[in-house]
Amino acid sequence: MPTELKGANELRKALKKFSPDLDKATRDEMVGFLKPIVKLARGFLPSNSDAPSGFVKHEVKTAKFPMYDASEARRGIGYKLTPTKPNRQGWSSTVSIHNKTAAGAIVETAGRKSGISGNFTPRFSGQFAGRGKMQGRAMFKAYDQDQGKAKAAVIKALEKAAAKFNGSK
Amino acid sequence: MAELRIPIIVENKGKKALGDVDKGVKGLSKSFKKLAGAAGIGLSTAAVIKFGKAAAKAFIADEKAASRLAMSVKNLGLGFETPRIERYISELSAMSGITDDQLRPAMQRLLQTTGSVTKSQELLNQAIDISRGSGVDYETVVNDLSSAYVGNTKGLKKYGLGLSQAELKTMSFADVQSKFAATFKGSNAAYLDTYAGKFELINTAVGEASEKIGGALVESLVSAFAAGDPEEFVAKIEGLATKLADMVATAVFGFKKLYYLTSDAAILASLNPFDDYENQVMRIIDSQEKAFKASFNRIKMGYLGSMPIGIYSGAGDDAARKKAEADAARRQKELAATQTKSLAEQKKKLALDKASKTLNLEAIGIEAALKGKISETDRISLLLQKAILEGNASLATQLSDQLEAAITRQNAIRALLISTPEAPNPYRNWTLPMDLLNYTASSLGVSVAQLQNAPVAPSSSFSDAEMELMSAVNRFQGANAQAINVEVYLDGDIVGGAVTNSQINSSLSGSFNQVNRGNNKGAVAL
Repeated sequence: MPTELKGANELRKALKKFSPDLDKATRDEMVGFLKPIVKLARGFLPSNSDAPSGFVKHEVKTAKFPMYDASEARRGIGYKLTPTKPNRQGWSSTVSIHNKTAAGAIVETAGRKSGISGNFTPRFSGQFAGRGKMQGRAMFKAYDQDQGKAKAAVIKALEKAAAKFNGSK
Repeated sequence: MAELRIPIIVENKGKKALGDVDKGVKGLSKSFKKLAGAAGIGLSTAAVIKFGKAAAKAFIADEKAASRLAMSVKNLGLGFETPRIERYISELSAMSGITDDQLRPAMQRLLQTTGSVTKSQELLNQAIDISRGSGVDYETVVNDLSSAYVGNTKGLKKYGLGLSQAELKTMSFADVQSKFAATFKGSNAAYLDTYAGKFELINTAVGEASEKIGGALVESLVSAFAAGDPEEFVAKIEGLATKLADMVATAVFGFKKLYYLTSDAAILASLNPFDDYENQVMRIIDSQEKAFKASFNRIKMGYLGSMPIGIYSGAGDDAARKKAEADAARRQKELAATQTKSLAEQKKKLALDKASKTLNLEAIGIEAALKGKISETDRISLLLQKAILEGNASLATQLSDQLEAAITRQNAIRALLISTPEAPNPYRNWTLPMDLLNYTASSLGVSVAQLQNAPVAPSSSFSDAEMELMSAVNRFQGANAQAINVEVYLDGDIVGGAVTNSQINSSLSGSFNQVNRGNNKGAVAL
């Protein structure tokens, strides 16, 4: 579950505007905690030879289903330290990890709801980790294995930055 | 679902939570801006002009609708009811939050359908409750109600009254109305208790005020008379408009007077002391001006001095109202009668359809039965039923006769069968022929008397055929109940004895002079 940190977006803005050094330091600190998760998540994505052959990118005339390319999918996993656009309920993510590509998202979640059956999902070697909507084979698995350490560290980094910023005023 | 995201740190901007209230407040502020625009508060001239145009447009549209309604009312012979209807609509709009733009066409439609002002008002009111309660828009509700009034209840299904289409069809309009009342009564009051309802009520009131302010004079007068509250402002504008119109009329007629007073005729007349041309012209123009002003500012409903105009209806109006109500009631009765008649017809048709279906089922059953293995009587009976179903009277008579004959025949056969004595055993007197007895007795080595009285003992000398014969004789004599001993002989001995002797002989050994056994059995010759 995400943690709500009120004023985090304003703090990032204020840091960027009035204390760029502190902003950069905070950012670097957060990146330091998020990068290992991203790296781990990328590692969980199958190589092209391990992915179902029909799913791997190949020359077709009409392709509607997303096709998998390991390097592309790996590039799609990353982190974001700027606020996202608020959703309909008004929630905006200040710090988040993402799995952007469609093929990567398929690898992440295929069989999560319908079960590992049929001709497609059993061909993915990775096991699911996590629970409910946070269950997956790559990004969610890496986040689950981290056991909230990165989140705690990010919160701490932001709180530290806020304290420093308020102290410097 | 292309992008998956794990939000680690989030923040709520609180947009949605306040969104609805914002919307309402925005709507309200827009309406107040309009009103403020009308009052010239805090708005630029351009905005005032813009508002003036909009207000004028709204006013024109409103007037059009009012004119249509008035014409419709007039055509129904209820022209004198127009002020009352207008006032009712205005009050209902203020109370319910439904704009008069919606109420006027609704009233027109209901009036055209019912022909009664009272009934239309009642339905107009009920439609508001139904609309609020069901969420169906007001215009649709009014259309459905007016359709239902003339017996078309097809559109009522969507209100979820818990009635089937068949039930709706058979219900009278009074029943429909009471069902609606039971389901939706008080919905409008409940809605107006909510914030949305209150906002709507205020918006409607503001819109109505805006329409009142609309008109050609608004644009120029708004900036000059900006202060004060809206109601006072409206009153002022009305007063000013009347005065301005008076002024315009005075000026126009003043020009007319000037034109005539400066004409050649007037100049010539001024030279003649006996000519009263100027005074005559002045009197004529004055009377024209007066007549114009009276027609222009004619009071439709209110007081002219202390004299009430359009408020109290005269005896003629009352009579006309009574006549219209009576006509409407008669029409409703006629409609109800038509509906009842139509329902009776429908019921008849349904009964016929049902009977027809039943007959069909019977016919199918008869055909199926005829294909099976049935008796002659049953067959004729089924054919007779079929003929009756088909209405074939001649065949039915013919078959009926046949059936009667068949039943008579059947009864005769039955009586014959009952009276037939029990059939004796055809073999009861049969005896064995003597030669057969003699042959059997001689074959078995017994006398004929022995053969008849005692079972024949088996003998080793019997051939297979003789053994069978013996068995048959013994069976005949009832000897089969006795145990039959079978002895098999081997080398002149019964097989059992022969086997025992052989076994003893084989098992004995040693030397002894004599072994004493009864009947020399087991004796071994040494």
